[in-house]
Amino acid sequence: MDQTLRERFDRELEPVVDLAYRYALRLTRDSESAMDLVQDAVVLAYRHFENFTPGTNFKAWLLRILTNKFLKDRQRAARAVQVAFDEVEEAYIARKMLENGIEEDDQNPASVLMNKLGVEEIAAAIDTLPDEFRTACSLYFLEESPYQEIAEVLEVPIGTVRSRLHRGRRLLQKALWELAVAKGITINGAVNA
Amino acid sequence: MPEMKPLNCEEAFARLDDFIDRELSPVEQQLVQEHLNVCAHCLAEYKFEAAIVDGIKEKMRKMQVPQELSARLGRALDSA
Repeated sequence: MDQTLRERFDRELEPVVDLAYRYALRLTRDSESAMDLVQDAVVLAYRHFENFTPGTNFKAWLLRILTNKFLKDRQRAARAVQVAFDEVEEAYIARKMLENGIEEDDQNPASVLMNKLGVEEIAAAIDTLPDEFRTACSLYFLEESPYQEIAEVLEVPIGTVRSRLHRGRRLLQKALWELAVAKGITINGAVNA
Repeated sequence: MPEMKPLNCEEAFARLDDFIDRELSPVEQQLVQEHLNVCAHCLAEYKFEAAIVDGIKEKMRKMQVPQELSARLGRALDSA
């Protein structure tokens, strides 16, 4: 490919490469696999860059390529097993805190909990989500993307994004609460159980 | 514009995720905001849910990106 095309590609890629890696990391749950996935997606995007319309959303285009590559590899490896999960009630953490007698102090108990959970624990909670929720939730939490953009990346209707995010957030709250219990985190003086 | 019927707690709660994400129509966004202005219980719930979302966003965006990624992509593109 000519130099100008490469320079244009590099200019588009540079602002979104960190996001692409963080997204890939949540999909693959492993740093080396995430770098492989980003590399495959970037090379694929470069090979088809002549089809990309300048001025349109490069980020969404690249993330769509990356998502499709991930899902295709999963199918090929026959590991795309549907994970069974129970429906989780709304406001799971708020209910659990109420059950445990955790009350509003001078600080919002949700903020206290989130401050006590580290980056690795948040990642571990997201990693428990089944693929369809993990893709939507990762895009949602990593970027201020509107639902419409997430729909474009995942190539699903906006209503599907809304539904996956709502259910994914509930599952995530349950996973976060269970991590907090396992770590023995206390909030406003009370112990979780 | 006709006056909109105020939301009750159940209706406001059902829209809370979309309200936090600013995905409601301007009219619905306004209706939820008006409910939160007069309902301490739903306001507390809103603050709670928003704090969890903000906490996750903050941590997710702090995840380290390996330094070698950029060079690795450069090499892959050079030979593509």
